[in-house]
Amino acid sequence: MRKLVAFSLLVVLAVAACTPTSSGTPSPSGAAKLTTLRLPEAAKIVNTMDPGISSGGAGLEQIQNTFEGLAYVDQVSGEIKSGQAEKWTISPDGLTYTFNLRSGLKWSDGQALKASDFEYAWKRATDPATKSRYAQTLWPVKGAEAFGTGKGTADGMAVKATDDKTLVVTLERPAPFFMHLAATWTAYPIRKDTIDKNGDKWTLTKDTYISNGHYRLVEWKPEQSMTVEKNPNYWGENNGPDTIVWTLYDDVATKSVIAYEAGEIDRAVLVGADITRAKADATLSKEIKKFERQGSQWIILDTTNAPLNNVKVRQALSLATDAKRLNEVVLKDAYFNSVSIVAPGIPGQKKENALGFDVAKAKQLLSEAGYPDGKGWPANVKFTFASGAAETKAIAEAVQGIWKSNLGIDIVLEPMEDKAFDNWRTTRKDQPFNMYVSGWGSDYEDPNNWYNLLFDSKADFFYAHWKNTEFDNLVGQGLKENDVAKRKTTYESADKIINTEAPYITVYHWARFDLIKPYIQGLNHYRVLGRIQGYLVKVNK
Amino acid sequence: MTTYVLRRLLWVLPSLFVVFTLTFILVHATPGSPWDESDKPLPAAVKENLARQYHLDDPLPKQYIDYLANVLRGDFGPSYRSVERSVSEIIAATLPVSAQLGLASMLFAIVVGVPLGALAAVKHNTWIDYVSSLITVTGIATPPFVRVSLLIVFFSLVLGWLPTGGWEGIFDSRAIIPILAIGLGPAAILARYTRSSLLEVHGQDFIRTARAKGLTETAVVIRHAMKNALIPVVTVAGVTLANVITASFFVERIYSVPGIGRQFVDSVSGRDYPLLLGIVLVFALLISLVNLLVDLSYGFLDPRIRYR
Repeated sequence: MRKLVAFSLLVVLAVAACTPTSSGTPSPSGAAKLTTLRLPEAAKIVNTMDPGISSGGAGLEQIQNTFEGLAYVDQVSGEIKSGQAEKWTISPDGLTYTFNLRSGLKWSDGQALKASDFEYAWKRATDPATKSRYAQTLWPVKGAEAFGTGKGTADGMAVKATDDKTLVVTLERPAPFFMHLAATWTAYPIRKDTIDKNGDKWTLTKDTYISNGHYRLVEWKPEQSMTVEKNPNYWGENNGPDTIVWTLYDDVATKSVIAYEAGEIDRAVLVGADITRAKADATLSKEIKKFERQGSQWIILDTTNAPLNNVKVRQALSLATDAKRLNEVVLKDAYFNSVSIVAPGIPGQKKENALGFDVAKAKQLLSEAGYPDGKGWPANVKFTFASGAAETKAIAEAVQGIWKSNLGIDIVLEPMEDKAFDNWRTTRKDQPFNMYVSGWGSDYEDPNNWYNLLFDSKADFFYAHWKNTEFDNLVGQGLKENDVAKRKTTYESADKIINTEAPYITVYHWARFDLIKPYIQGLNHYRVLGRIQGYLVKVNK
Repeated sequence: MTTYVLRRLLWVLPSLFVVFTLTFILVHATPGSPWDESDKPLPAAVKENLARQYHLDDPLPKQYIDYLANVLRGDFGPSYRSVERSVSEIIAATLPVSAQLGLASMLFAIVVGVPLGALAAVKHNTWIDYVSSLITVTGIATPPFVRVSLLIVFFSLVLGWLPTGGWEGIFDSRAIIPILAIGLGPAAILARYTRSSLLEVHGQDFIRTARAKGLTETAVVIRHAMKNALIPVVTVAGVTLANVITASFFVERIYSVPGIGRQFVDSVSGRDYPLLLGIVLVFALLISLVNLLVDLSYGFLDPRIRYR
């Protein structure tokens, strides 16, 4: 009897609990609910919110949400769209750009935005005293490189506000990619009065961090969080969340997943073992999203140091590297499989140019180079890497094994402390080495950002010490070519040369893994730089 | 007494100078510069300009003298990694957070550790003693980064009671996990020392006298035994400050507390020399002062100790 009473009580309770309380509190359907997007960000690197100083990295997402340049790169389509400039004209010789600003542009504090704010910002970022980490962005402007390296003056830099709404820029030489540079954060406008008054501290508070983008700063607590709200003075529409809060973490990949699972943030950064764990988890597996990032990770070879100075040896190593297995098995599919040296999407890149994976051919080439089945291979060929990066270590170990079994050669692993490795790499400029791992992601989707900036023997960004006169001539022509189709084929010929000469062996192409809560829509990472644009996101909560 | 304190304070200066010089040599002997980035290397021209602007291209002896002169004027210089805040400002913003957290953790350690050890000594070789041993051994054996991770998993993910990180002041629920994570280590050490020191005192003549006078056991333990037993405990308490500081390196980092310990770790891995030197000097000063306080407190605990 007692059991029965207890049971019926339970049933009554259960039913009561399940009945919707329609007569209860009325839902505030009339008033628009304020929405907040909660994102993670790396704390340490948010060391500047100053667009003129930032070199990208963490902090860029905050800068891009609070500022807007003359033009911007659409974070879905990748097209250049007009931002603060309503339109622009380019002179027939490709040297002079005239930008016409929209009318009625305002700063976040309500003051009028003028063309002179751009002129000031560009000259300030180029001035060596500003200590910009990205000053070279504006160097194609006439007189900028001289000013930036202390050989010229601000007045000698050819950027001029001819009136409040017109900005005229003259370039040193034609640069078909210049609109990409004009859309970069270094070229965002800056308010002179706040810099004059607050110096380096202008980015710290709501009242001094005056911006012109979709959002404006509410609060920045160093190492803790950053909050922005809709900027009522922005010229266009903003249908994104009312506020965006970034929580800052030292180890953003590890901590954001924990905070995400505890429901504190709406997006988490997923790397390494967490990818495998999330894929196996019933809930998390539905919230994983993999984004393409236009970048390549390579094993960089010193092409002047024996035995890798022999092109056949380099080709053999490249052909024997099972990059598909490296990504899919060793790195748990955290990236995209290797296609070619330059990342897909860059005009000039052609997957047919890549050497591919062919062990038989690799063995034959190695034999022709004088090391049949690895016999006579020198004993001290070193693979140098930063020991702090677990993934690079995994790559080095895997490659060691792959080459041993495919070619019968031995390489020596040489781990170094992270900063010691960075320093070692810096000194490779004029010192010999064998190989190390590094990579590059596009700053803008243009061949200049790869072929000229990295591989031209005058640049030799990764110190492969690789020099090919024909390649240098081709990329030099491509740099100045204004005809799009002609430019593409010129770079394609260069692409063929570098893939054949194999100073780099591609390990994978970059990717981003995110966990995103199901109530978030429109959160996108565009493949170039890929920061989240708040105004594109919907928070349905 | 006053001369003793003054003499001790004067000795702090040369020790700070030695610490400063050693750290300066060590940081410059370590390879790597603040602008060697693994993710995206800066172009050489930009790096050269930065080195010039921050005087990193000056000869080392000149850098040393310039920096020392600035420090003597109370200016720790600019941080290489943070554009908007100078080293002095970073220390001023983060030291109070760590000080609150450290004091709360020390308080926790004393309030929990000393009674736990005393209880274990009084109930020597009973289950209370064994349970206390289990707690203290666990506290000593687990490093702070393991403790803080386990606490986050348990309280934030399993139970969902506390946030996974952050800082809103010492009276916010966000302070609980870091206090526990930092305080458990020193608490365990204090408990161990209190226990063994009390047991040692227990066998001595003045305790027998106190018992012979007919005092209650509580009065014997608290008034006579405890006071004498506290000398080694106070000595250890001084040492545990270093323990609290090193624990803060991990705990602040993992729990996202904006304290000075986190800045210390960042300044080492980021080769932010001015920030690193500034923090090292602050830590050295703190440890010197606490050691002095510890030495002074002996006089209050043991009347036989005199200062000259």
